[in-house]
Amino acid sequence: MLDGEVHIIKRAVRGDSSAFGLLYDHYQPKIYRFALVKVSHREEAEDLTHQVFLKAWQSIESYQDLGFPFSSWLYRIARNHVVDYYRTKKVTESIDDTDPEKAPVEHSLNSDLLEKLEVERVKNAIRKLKPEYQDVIIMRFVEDLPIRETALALDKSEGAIKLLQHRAIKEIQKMLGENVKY
Amino acid sequence: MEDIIKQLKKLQKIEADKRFTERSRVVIIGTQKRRSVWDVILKNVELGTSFALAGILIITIFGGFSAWRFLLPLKLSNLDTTGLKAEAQAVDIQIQLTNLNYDEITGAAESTAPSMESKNAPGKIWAENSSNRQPEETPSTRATSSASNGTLSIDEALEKLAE
Repeated sequence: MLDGEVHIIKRAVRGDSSAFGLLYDHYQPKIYRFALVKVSHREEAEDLTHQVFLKAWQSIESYQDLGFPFSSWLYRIARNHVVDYYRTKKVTESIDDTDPEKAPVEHSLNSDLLEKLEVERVKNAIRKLKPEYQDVIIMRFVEDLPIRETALALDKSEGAIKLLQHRAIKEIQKMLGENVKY
Repeated sequence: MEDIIKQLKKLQKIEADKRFTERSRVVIIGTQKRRSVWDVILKNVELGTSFALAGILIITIFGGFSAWRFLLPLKLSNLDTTGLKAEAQAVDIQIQLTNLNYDEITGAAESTAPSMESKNAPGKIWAENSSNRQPEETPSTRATSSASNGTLSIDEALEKLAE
């Protein structure tokens, strides 16, 4: 959570663009990662991230601090955009056919090639999961969100999140284990 | 399990392109917020209502509630209360219970009749109707008639005792 976030959000709700800029700086990397893991292409992830923050800025007046973290509100917007993306987008390439070695490598990942391939392999494994498993895995283990915050973002109970997390981990363990055999 | 989580944590290294981040930030913050016509109307109504309520509150406080005389929609200055009272007293509505007879021997026979003093009284109509009506033979009246034929009533018995 951002320092003095409540105050910053209040300023942003009143229309202070610099306050919203601070929120953007803090949450943009998280939303971008979420989008990139959900959709396979960097350009599309950037586009989605931009739309999410634009939507958030346009409708921040409707945000009410009811004890829910701001991040859960942003993740909800992001999830809706991802759903819309898959609804309207004609997928020309099957995710199953994607070869990790041919997948686009991020600009910022300038470490060694094996590391990049490993990241791509994990990304592809996540993408093969059910959407709700994907959300839980990303929020809980990539973004380190607490269970309560994840539950609020996904509009589920904490018990349901624990159950989904357990199943998702088992599923991805199986997938990555199978991949290792190759 | 821990290996999987460690592998998942590697995704934290993913970062957006810096040029994209800067460009997107500038565009979003520079965007004018869309406001629908309804938003504007609603805002104005809210503002107007709050000003009106504040005005009423100030008038109430400084006017010491005397302003209610002017704010009342119905003025009753033409109302003549003494005239109304006199009118109410002129209406003669007197209903009296008279001629209550109680016959212990036969059971109970009671009759009530309104006073005939008032010409306009509804009792007059009642009396006329009752006089026109044929007396119906009920078990009680049958009993009283038979009593008058054979046995004595209390009054008659008392009169005889007095003699």
